[in-house]
Parts: sequence; structure tokens; C-alpha cells
Amino acid sequence: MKKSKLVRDYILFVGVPLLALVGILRAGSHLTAPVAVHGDWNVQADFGPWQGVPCGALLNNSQPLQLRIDQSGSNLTLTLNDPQETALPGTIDGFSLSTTFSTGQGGTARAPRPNAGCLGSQSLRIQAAVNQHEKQRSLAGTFRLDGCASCPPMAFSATRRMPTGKAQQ
Amino acid sequence: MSPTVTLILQIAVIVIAARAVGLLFRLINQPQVIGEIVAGILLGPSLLGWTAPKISAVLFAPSSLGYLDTFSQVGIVIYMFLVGVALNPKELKGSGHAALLTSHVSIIAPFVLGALLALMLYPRLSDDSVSFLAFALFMGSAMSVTAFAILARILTDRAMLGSRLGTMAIACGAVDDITGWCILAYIVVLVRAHAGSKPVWMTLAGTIIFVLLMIYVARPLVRRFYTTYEREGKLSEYMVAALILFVLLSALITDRLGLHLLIGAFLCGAIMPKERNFVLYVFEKFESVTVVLLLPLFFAFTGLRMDLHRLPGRGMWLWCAAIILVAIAGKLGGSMIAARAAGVPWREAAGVGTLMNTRGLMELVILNIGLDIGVISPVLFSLMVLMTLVTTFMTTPLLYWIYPLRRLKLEMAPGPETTEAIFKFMEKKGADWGMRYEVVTKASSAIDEVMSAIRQLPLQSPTARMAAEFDEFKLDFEIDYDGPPLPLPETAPSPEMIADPLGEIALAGFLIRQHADEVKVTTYDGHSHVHLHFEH
Repeated sequence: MKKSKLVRDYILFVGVPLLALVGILRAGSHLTAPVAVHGDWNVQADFGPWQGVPCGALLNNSQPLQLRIDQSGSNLTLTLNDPQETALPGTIDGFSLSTTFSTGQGGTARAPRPNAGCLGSQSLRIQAAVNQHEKQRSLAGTFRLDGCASCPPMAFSATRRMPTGKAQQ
Repeated sequence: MSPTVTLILQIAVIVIAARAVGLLFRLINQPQVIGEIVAGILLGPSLLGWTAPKISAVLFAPSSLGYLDTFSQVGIVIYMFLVGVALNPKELKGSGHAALLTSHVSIIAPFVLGALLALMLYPRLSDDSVSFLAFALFMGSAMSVTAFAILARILTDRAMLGSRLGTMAIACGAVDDITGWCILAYIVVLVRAHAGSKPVWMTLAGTIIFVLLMIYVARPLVRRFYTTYEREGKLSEYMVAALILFVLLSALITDRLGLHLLIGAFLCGAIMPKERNFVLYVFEKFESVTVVLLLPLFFAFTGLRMDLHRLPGRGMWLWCAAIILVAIAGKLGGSMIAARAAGVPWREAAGVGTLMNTRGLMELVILNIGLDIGVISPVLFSLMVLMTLVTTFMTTPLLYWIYPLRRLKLEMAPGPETTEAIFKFMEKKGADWGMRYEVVTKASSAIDEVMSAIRQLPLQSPTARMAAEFDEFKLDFEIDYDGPPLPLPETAPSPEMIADPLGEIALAGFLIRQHADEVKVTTYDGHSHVHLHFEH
């Protein structure tokens, strides 16, 4: 292979793509991605009024309530207390997070516990706003139980636990 | 169930699944490791967790996965050390401009395409805790990975290691490995600096000092492992313990520097002596436990982190297809075009591209690091693991398509007329298959010697069965007959011995050795088998 051909090929196959890479990185620097909410959260709320009603057991069996959010872009998967019991699909739009959990028709929970209480047409809904205080993010919102007239919306706040071990920011 | 019992059960299930699925993949001419990766995925939420959630919940309860993770990390640390040991910078020397250009293009082409894809994936599958720069660089480096170990295994299986194609692929794979790890180290620093865990200057300065210390201080010291091995023919248990400690210490230092455990382990392997017998000895010492026990744990842990049922919407499958296409176009297409531009014939260039497209275990290692440091999301992780499987799986069939394996079988009764028949037959088949004439002559002579020797043996059945297999790189013959094994003396029998019928058989055995590049005779229950191998 002649040296001049090698240089020409290098410019064509390595130099030009490198320039393209610089262009791509510049173009991408203006892109915005959804707000990060993934990680483990401690939820503070008083679920007393929900005792004995459907879904109450799911939320009451641990204080503070443990919430884990797995995030892929604007798509979320929330698990409450026991990850083996619940998997709540949700989305984040701007700073607004919403999710629906139903074990009734068209439900999305995996392997629901029989006594979890969320039965029939009732479904748990979470709506929250993401707040930013310095570098710390928090959630403030409500748990709602659709299909339960006697269940008032429950206000909650949540703070993110500091990651341990692996860097899950 | 106590944590120890759970862990033992987990290990047992994982090892059994890995061996079983690995064996199935061997049956379809795939490297065992691909089957093991698939076994890991099957044990995760994508299959076991979906079809048998109760069993999955008992066996792989999230609270019990800490130990499994730790074991798998230890395994992958040792594996990365072995990858470093296998890497020989001398393989890069003298590989020529074609290899140099191809290796660089095999990195830059998939890298640029990966970064381009990142423009579309970042708003959809990432979040604002990751900068676009880190995300795009990660996608680029994940697309440009080559599984050096699997590549070497495929080349060995097809006797391609010594060919021009094999030499070029190995050289390109080595360049890819080194470059890939440098880029990954940079990304880890970038992401961790973004997270505020350690100042960048501290990591960079520490890394430079550490690398220099490894090259100029540790490298001459680890040379003593080789001198001891050369003197005593083995390493004492104290020396092996010292070697393990060295690997762990190196891994620990890079982790504390803000890089990753695996970068230290790889670097440690890379500075080890490269004498072939020593490298083989180190592999012998570490490989069995790592490959049979610890790597399947890593595959299972990877599978447990991957849940195809949580892919949000069918649109994700389109993104999955896009990722796979970009990966193949960048790596296979890029390497092929670069090799062709460098003057390599089209077929060989396609072979290089196909081999470079093998991602395998290295990709899984990098993806797990990406998920650990939060630079990729769980869904993107799942899609990239699928891409890894597809690109690794396609290598062997594609290579067989580019370099088809030709087979034939025939039966013949060894007799005085077989010589002419063999030569005529080989000449015709050789021309049909495109064999080099020199190989045709060598093979014909060797088979003729086998047949004339068999003819003089007390045979239970008058026929011998012959099967041949040929591709661009090798010609193999398997000859079976019902009778005693052929002797294969290393020295020629004396003229007095040749006068005896047994001496004549010994002479034929000696001549077979001279004609064939490899010959092996085995016998079982009155049946004997001769294997002849010729390099093409």
C-alpha cells in the first residue's frame, strides 16, 4: 500500500468521521433529556385513613414507605416496598410524574399479593411534582385510589436516599 | 432459607443452566459462551421471572443478589486480567498498513454511528443526570467493542489463526480492546466528575501516575513470575497468591482513583510477561474456575438486570432493530470497507468485518459498567444486550457463508487400484473446491499411504469410510476402518525392518506423518480412526 494512498484513506475513513463526531457532539449538547427521578426514595405520608380499604395493606406495611424508581427516558417503573410484588408503570413529563397501578382488569402489577387489597375496578394512582432544592430533588404529590369513594387522596412527600455501593445517581 | 443455602442453590442452578444451554449452542456450531449468555438471560425476569414468578422470587430474591453480584464481580475481575494477559502488543507490530487502517476504522465508524444514534436515543432513553457527551461517547464505545477472546476462539475453531485474515482480525481486535478501554475510562471519569464524586484532575493525575508505575516499576517486577516459572516449570502457591493479590490491588487502586475495578485488572494483565508457555500456564491456573463457575454468575446477573417485558411499548422494538442495524453497519460495514480500501480482496474484507462484529462478553462487561454508573438506562441496557447477542450469534453462520465448509463422504475397499482412484478423485475435488495443488498432492499421498497400510492390516471388514472437510483454511480427513490402529513412528524404519510386512506398515505411518500437518490415530473396540489435517 502506497504511503500517499494510506494518507488519503486515513483522511477519508478516519479524519472525516472524526470531524462528523465533533459535529454530532456539538449538535447533541443542545438536547435535553427528561428530569432524572430514578433511585430509591423515602416516602412520608399518613395512610391512617386508608386502613382497611383496598390497597391500604400495600402502603401500610412499612414506614417510611420505600419507593424505587427505575427510569428509561420518560418511562418509569415504580416499585412500592417489595419489588417482587409491584411494578407500576408511569411517565414523567417535564417536572410532573404520574403513574397508575391497577390489579383489576387490565392491571399492570406483576405477581400481585392476594391480600394486597387492590381488587376489582380499584386502582392506585400517583401524581407528583419534582422539586429541585439546590442539588437535592424531592417529590410532592398525592396517592389516589380510583373507584373508592370513601378513600380521600393522600398527600405525600418523598426524598431521595443517597446511593450506596453502585453509583445510581 | 439461609443466605448460604440460597447462594449455593443459585450457583448450582446457574452452572447447570449455563452448561446445558452452552452445549445446545455448541451443537449448532456456536461458541459455548453465547449459550451461557443466553442461559443467564433465561434465568432473569425475561423468562423465568415471567413464566415462574414464584420460583424466581424464591431463587433470585432481590435481597439475595448481593452475594451473587460480588462473586460475579470477582469473576469478571479475573477474566479481565486474563483478557489483558492474552493481549500481546507484538501482534500489532508488522501487521501492516491494511491492519492499521482497518483497526482504526473499525473503531471510528461504529463510534460515529453510535453517537449519531445517541442524538435520537438521548431524549427518549436517558435523563438529565447524564450529559449528552457521556451518553454519546458511551454509545459510541459500546458500538465499537470487539470480543477479543471469542474472536480468537472462533479463529482457532476454524483453523484461521495463522491465516492473513486471522492475523489481521487479531491485530484489529487488540487495537479495539486497548482503545475501547481508554475511551471507557474517560467516560467513567466524565460521569463520576459530573456526579461530583471526585475532581477530574485528581482522577486524571492519579491514572497517569498509576499507569506509569505499572509500566516502569511493576512490569519489571512481574517479570519475576516468568523467571520463576521458567526456572521451576511452575509457580508455587505463594507466587500464585501474590499474583492474585497483585490483580486485586491493581483493581482496587483504579476503583479508588474513580475509574473502575476492571480497568485495573485489565492493565495488570496487559503488563504481564507475554511468553507463550507462561501465558498458557496462567490461563490453565485461572481459566477453569473463572469460565465454568464465575463467568456464568456474571451472565446470570446480567440476565437478572434485563427485563424484556418492561420495554415500554412496541416502538422500543423498532429502536432495538435500529441499534442492531447501526452496530452491524458500523462495525462489519466499516471494517469491511476499510479493509477493501486497503487492498484486501472483497471476500477476505467481508471476513474481517464479520469477525470484528463479534461483541460477546466484552460488550456485556461494558454495558454492565454503563448501567452501574448510570450512563445508560435499564431499557437501553436490555436493548444493547439483545444487540450483543445478535451480533455475536451471527458471526459463525456468516463466516460459514463467506467461507463455506465443503464436506464429502465415501467408502472404498483398500486395494491395489485405490492409488489411482484416490489421486484422480482428489484432483477433481481439489479443482471443484479450489484447493491449492500442493495441498491436493500432499493429501492424496497421505491418503494413499493410509490405504496401503490399512490393506496390510488384518481387517474385520474390507471397506474403509472416509469423510473430508474443506474450507479456505484447512483440509481435514477422517478415515474409519474395522481393524487395529496404524502405527505412526516418528523416525523412518530401517531397510531391514521394511522387508518385513510390519515394517512396511511402519514406513507408511512415518510417511503419513511427513505428508500431513497433523495426524492422530485413535482406536476403540476394534474400530480405528485416522485424522489427517492439512493447512491450506
